[in-house]
Amino acid sequence: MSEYVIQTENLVKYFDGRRVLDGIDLKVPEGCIYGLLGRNGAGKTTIIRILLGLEPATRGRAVVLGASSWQLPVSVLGQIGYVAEGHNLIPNYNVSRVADLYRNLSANWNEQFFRRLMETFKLPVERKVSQLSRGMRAQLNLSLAMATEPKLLILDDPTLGLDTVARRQFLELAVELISRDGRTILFSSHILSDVERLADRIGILRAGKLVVDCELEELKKRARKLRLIFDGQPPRELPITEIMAETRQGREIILTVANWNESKQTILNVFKPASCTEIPMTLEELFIECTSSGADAAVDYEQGEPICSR
Amino acid sequence: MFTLIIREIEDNRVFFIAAVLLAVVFGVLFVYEQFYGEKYESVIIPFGFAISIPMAMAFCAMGATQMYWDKTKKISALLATLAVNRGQIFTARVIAGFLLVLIGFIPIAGAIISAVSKLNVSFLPHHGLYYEILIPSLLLGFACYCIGLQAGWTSNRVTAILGALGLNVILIPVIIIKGFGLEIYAILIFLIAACLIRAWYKFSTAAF
Repeated sequence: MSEYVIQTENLVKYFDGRRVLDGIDLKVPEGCIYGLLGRNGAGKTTIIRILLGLEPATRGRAVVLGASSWQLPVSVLGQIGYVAEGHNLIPNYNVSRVADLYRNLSANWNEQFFRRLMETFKLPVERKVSQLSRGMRAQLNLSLAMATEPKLLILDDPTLGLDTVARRQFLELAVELISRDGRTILFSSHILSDVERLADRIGILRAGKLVVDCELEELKKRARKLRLIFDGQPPRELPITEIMAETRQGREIILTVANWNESKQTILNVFKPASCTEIPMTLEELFIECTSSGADAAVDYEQGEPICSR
Repeated sequence: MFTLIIREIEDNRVFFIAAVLLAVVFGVLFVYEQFYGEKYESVIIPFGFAISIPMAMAFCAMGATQMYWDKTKKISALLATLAVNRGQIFTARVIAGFLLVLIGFIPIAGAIISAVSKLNVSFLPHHGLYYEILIPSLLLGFACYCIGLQAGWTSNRVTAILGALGLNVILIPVIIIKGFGLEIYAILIFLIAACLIRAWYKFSTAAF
């Protein structure tokens, strides 16, 4: 089997003539916690659904645990745990019936672990899924997915709609679980602090393209936000490639550049700014820069090169 | 597979309970007639034939309900993320449907045939009764179920109901006009195959 648990090549998906995914090349190594970010409609859920075989791709290839995602064999499906966006469990079943279904249809069900999680969350086993709160549904869904002892865990925006306390509980459990057995996790989220806390590698989707795919630290290191102050009028145009954002005010330019390197520094030095200070960026700022319209300039669409890649 | 079949039966227990109740009624009549010499022909034959059309509709409704609820409640979307593939989900569904047809159909057909055979009517070829009535009737019940199955894969309840009813309205008069006999085998088998292939195609290529 390849070193990658998930591998997609030129994945394209159209919905009603609209291109939702545009040539996604995603690689998730074994043991990695991969955070998939993107604005609403960027294609996060579509990628996940294709990986699980719930949705066919229009073009391209997706391989999960060595098998084509559209025809995942039962042996591979048994190694995947999935927590769906909105926690889509069968609404008219009660908790114990859903648990029975998972118990009987899972390849590696861990009853002891499931009971421990149920006790931790104090979930009412006789209550119907439709009568559970969103937080309870999230806890149940995670408990079920984890009790299947998956080699690959896929979480699609698992904390969406949860209140702060429920989110914290969910994340604490996720952190505990992630530290077990070094399993591979792919999760998408809107909440960047969650991603920052859990992920060791991130991918950022923008309009169906993967504009960032690298380690979190690498992204922070390679994307630079600089405040440049010039003695006189600043140059009209800076001949630096991969500028993600640029704002000008008087003698000041604030510049965000992808893939910062020595040659870009040398070009900048030619213009002799009076001061050049680096502004530290949070993941949230990076995300906004990567998904803003200015990020277009930073992506070489012809070459398909992301802002930050391995 | 067993879990999936049980799940289908539990989810559609209304149909199974109704079928079992009917089976018990006809079973009791059959036993009394066969072993205690009671004469229930005047009850079994008209009641049996009268109930056969609603039963055919019920089989159709079962197929349509299975697919319709699956699509609207995203049941397969959940099952397909467990260690189960689409083929197993679909096969379990069809097996559950066939079981319903058997449970609902065999006691009724048995009671009717037993009653008819006692009438000693000359135009009925007694030795071929089972093959010419029993099997086509079983196929008819299953065909109605398959029609429901292929019509039910839609999120529009009206389409599901009208589609299934429409096909049944065509099929049942064909049987009535054509009558039971060996020729009807081909029509029913062809229809069952077509419906199953169509339902499987829709199910296997659908986005859950």
